[in-house]
Parts: sequence; structure tokens; C-alpha cells
Amino acid sequence: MKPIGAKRDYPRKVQEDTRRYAEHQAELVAKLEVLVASLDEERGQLEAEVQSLRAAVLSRESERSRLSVQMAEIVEENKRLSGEYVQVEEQSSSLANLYVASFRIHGSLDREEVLTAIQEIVISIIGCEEQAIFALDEAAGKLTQISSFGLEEDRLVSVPLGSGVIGRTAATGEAYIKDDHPDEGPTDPEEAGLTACIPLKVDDKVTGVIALFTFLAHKPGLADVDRELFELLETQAATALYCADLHANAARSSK
Amino acid sequence: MSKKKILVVDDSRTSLFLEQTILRKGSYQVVTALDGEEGVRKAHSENPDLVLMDVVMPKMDGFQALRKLRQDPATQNIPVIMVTTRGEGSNVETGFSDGCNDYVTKPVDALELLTKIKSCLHEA
Repeated sequence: MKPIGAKRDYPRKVQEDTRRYAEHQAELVAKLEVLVASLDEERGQLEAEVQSLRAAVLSRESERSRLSVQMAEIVEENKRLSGEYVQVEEQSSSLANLYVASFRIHGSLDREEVLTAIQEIVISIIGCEEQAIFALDEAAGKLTQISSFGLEEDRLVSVPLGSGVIGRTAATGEAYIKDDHPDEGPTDPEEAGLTACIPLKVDDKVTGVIALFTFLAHKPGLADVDRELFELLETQAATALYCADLHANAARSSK
Repeated sequence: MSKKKILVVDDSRTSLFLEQTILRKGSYQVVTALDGEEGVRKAHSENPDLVLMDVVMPKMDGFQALRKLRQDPATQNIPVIMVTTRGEGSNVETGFSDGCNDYVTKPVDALELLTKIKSCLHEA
């Protein structure tokens, strides 16, 4: 049995414990409130940071889009300039071909040398290893072969003026290019494989013909420069041969 | 920097002149030979950085000249580009089996030729 004094102290003790408990709870609440305030502050800071990062991402994305557009423009410009460079190179190459052809044709007054130069131009610059050069004998009404390469010896030794594509080219003075006349190919078996026929002209008067047959297998087709070379041969080759003949006659006369 | 020297071997004066014109535009020094024999001689005397060799030539053709160059320790490492009118397999195979580094076909395309030369000379 508890003493009477202890019975009396019990409520006081409970009261005291409750008070201490309440104080402790109040301290905890105060601490939690400080913590919540601090967390709120931190959250605010983080939210501001997130917002700033979002703005930075948006800015970077916009910068990236701008750079992508710029890059596409640069790629396009690069492509255009590359195309122009290739075009300039092709023009330069064509001019070199024409220069070399002209230089070679007029590089000698020896008829054989001029004929060799014409043959080499047709082989090395145009790309045709089957060819024949004819001189026109107006009085006899025929073309006589004066040089050939890659053809059988007895093929097209003489061609009547106006006969076949070669004879017609001499008669009309109009160049024949197979690509331009796909339906008007040669019918004479001797002219089989004829790809182009170029009249040789001095002052618009036909003096002969160059006949070009099968082109080299790897040549994809006639290029613009080939047509320019045909035009060059048409007048320059004829003039060079004419000059060579005049020179030979003059040399003979002076002896 | 001194210009690289290229020996062009071709019996066609037109081809020689055309190739010379192209190579001079590419800033190369050019020496020439008119047949395989002269080409082999000049490869020794001129010590070129590269040889451009035609295939069909009098006296000694391009393949024979190439084999001579490859057999000689003084010239065996000189890059050789064959210039041929025939682009078909057998001709090209012969060139490569004889030790050529590359080949171009006639009519010579200036851009292609300069690109192949730069590649052989490790200038690309």
C-alpha cells in the first residue's frame, strides 16, 4: 500500500510531465517550422534555378536551330561553289584541249606532220582510234583517202562526191554527227560505225573530210568540247593542210 | 618549296603537249620522253617524283618500261601512272601486276589526272 504523501504528489507529477512534454512538443514544432521555412526557401531557389535552366535550354535550342539553318546555308553554298569550281575546271580543261589542238595543227608546215597532228588530236583529245582523212579532188568528183588510223588498208580508199555520208558531207559542207541524226545513219557497209564526219574548209570551200568511226569504249559520248574541236578541225586543219601544200609547192618552185 | 618533277612518257606529241599543259597548271615541273627506252633513261637521269607512262609506244612499250623501272633499285619506288586508250580489265590488270600505282584513260580528264597524281604523291 502506497503512503498517503505519494498519492498526493502523483497529480503534480503528471501535471509536471505533461507541461514538460508540451514544452518539448512546442520546441519540436518551432524547429519543424524553421526547417519548413528553410525548405520552402530552398525550394524557391531551386524553382528559380529550374526556371533559369529552362530559359537556358530554350536559348540553346534556338541557337542550335539558328546554327542548323546557318550550317544548311553553308553546305548549300559549298555545294554551289564546288559545282562552280568543277565548271571552271571543265572550261579550263576544254580551253587547254582547244589550245593544244590549235598549237599542234599549226606547229608545222610539213604535210605529214600536220596529218599526224590531226590524227593524234582525234585519238588523244577526242578519243577515237578509227579515222580517215580525205582530200577532195573536184575535177575527178571524188574524195581520196590521204591518211587513216585503225581502219583496214583497203577500206574507203576513194569515195565518190555526194555518195554516202562521207561524200554528202563533202558535197554539202555540213558536218554529220550521228548523235544529232539518230535516224539517218550510214547505209553503205564501208561506212559502218561512222560516228562523225567533219568537212575540211578553207574560206567556206570544202577541201576534204575527216571521218571518225567507233569511239573508245570508255568514252561516254560526245561532249561540248568535242563539238568545239570539230569546228576547230573544220577550219584550222584545212588551213594547215592548205598552208603545208603551198609551202611544199613554194619549196619545189625555188629548187 | 621546290616543284615536284613529273616525267611524261608518250610517243604522241599531242598527248605530251596536252599532259604538259595540264601538269604545268598544277604547278609541276615536267620532263618528257618520246618512247619507253628514253623514259627509262630519263627516270634514271632526272630522278622524277612520278612517271606518267603511255602504254602503246615504239621501241619499248609502257608495260616493258614499267617492268624495267620496277626491277631497278634506283627507280623501283617511283610512282607510275599508266595512260591508256584501253580502260578494259586485262589492260589495267597487266599494269597493276607490273607494279603501276594507278591508271588514267585517254582522252585524259585534267581534273582526274591531277587528283590521281596528288594521291600518288600524297599531296591530297
